[in-house]
Amino acid sequence: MPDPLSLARMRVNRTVPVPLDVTALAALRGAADFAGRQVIDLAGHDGIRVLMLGWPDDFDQGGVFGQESWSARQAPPSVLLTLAACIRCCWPSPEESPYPGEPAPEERIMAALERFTHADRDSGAPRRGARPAWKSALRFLRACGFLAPDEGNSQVRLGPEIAAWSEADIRQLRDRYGDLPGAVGDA
Amino acid sequence: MDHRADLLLTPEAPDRYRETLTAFVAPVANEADAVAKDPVVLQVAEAIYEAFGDIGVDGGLTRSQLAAACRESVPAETFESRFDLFVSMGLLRRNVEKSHQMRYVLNPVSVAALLVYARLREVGGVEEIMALLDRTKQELMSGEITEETLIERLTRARRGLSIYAGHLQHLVRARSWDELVAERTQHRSADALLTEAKELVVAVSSRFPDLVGLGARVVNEALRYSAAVNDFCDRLLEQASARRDFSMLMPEQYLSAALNCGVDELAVPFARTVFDPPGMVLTAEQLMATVEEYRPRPVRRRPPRPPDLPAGSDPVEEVRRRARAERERIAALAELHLQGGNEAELTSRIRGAGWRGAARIVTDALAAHANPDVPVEAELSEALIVDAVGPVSHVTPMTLRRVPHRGAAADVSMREDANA
Repeated sequence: MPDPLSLARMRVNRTVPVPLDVTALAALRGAADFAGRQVIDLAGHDGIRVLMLGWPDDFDQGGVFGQESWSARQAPPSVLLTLAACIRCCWPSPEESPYPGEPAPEERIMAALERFTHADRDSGAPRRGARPAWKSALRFLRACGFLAPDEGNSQVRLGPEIAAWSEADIRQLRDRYGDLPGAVGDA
Repeated sequence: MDHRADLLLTPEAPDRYRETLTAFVAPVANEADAVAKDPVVLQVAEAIYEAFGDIGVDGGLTRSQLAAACRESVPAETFESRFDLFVSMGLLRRNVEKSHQMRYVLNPVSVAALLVYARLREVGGVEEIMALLDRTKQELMSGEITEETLIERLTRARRGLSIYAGHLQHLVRARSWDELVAERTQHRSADALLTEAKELVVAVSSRFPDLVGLGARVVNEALRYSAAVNDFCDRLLEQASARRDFSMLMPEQYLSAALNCGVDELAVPFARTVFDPPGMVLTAEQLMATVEEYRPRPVRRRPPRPPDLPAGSDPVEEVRRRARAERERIAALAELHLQGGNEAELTSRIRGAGWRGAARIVTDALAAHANPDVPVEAELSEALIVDAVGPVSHVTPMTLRRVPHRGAAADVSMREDANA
């Protein structure tokens, strides 16, 4: 029997713990299937398994929602570049899965972005003009689930939305891992 | 904000109006279907009413004049089907009771009926009770009413209010939301009615003190009716809030709320609404496309300056020296062929020099011809000498000739070639 209430709870909370009751888990999967979605089982940063709602692998989310501005929120370039730097800094080895990755200091993300945009090219010292936009992008990405919520320790961790990316998406990132903005010392 | 009164403003559906009319004529109906099912019949009467009101011809209107006036409002066949009925029932009367008289006038009683129907559409029967109370109060103030009539009217008003209050309480307790919505336009004057009843009782107590008890019962019923309307509004509000049925609000109320309410008040309707967390459609392809777009371009660097030339001979001067030496060489060869003369035939020398020597003589002569600084020219014949047994089997006759100033002439020739 599908369980739409649990599905709604999962949508609101973004992730939910895996139900201990097998029947409840089946009901949740049934509700997701009925809604044309799928339940993704993933291990969080603390190693605890959680469930989140994702799209089927053959569903072209970008093609369906990404074309018109009214159908989905469009990310500005500053957000996309910030996410690219976060992925590079929190994903130490492209041989492994990017999620959950490793925490990275915010300062390292900022340094990677300054290096990528050559903000420190002329004066030798980093220019701080773009930092507020990148900090704002971090907050935006945390709110949208691409980064984990802020724990107040100035650390950046990848969010569950990264885990929802398809294998084709991950392969594309892996193939061009070296192009992602990284800080000095990143391999 | 108190929207109770506004809750009762929205017009009702046409089907509901027909039910109201049926109930209205029921006291005098002969059969259950006394009210026509098609709502257009009332439109015919309204069209006739408008025609008499707008045209206003003395002596009435003919049937054809009425039909023409109603044509835009109702179909012609509908008008024809209703006309004889209206005449037979007295809505339309002949202006003069003569057989040849074909002009009609509208019965004033029917005018009143049409006005009542319009009031029924808007406010329902409670307004009639209020009109009864008002009329009674006016007659009481002017001393035109008898005690018997006053008792009869107060009793009628009390009974009517009792019936309406009971009807509303039944709706609130037992009927569906849709029926409440359909009924809501009928009870807009509860407060005014209560005020009217109180004023009447005050007037009654001064003229007929014995009837104070009867007046108090009227006021009690008016209070009961008013309380029933409040309960009715409470349930409407409760249901509208629970269903978030914003159709209960008028557009002006939306505007008023947007302009005057605080954020907290505006958030109340959504206090129990569940929202998805913010999301963003983002693919790895978009991410990498942005990285590619904003990747810094490689910095263009100026090539390093060449090292200083080593001390020694100047290579440019060396080139010039070699060119000069070459010119002197071919000039000397040409002079050798000319032997001080102005012209020399080179054909025999070519034929006797063998292939290698022939090639050298020809190329030197042509090089001298091409060099403007060497004052000679070479002329090739169009003939061909074939010598199967000689050192050179095929030879084109060639003549070398001295010229005075070939440099200037060659410059002119080259300029002309360039212009061409």
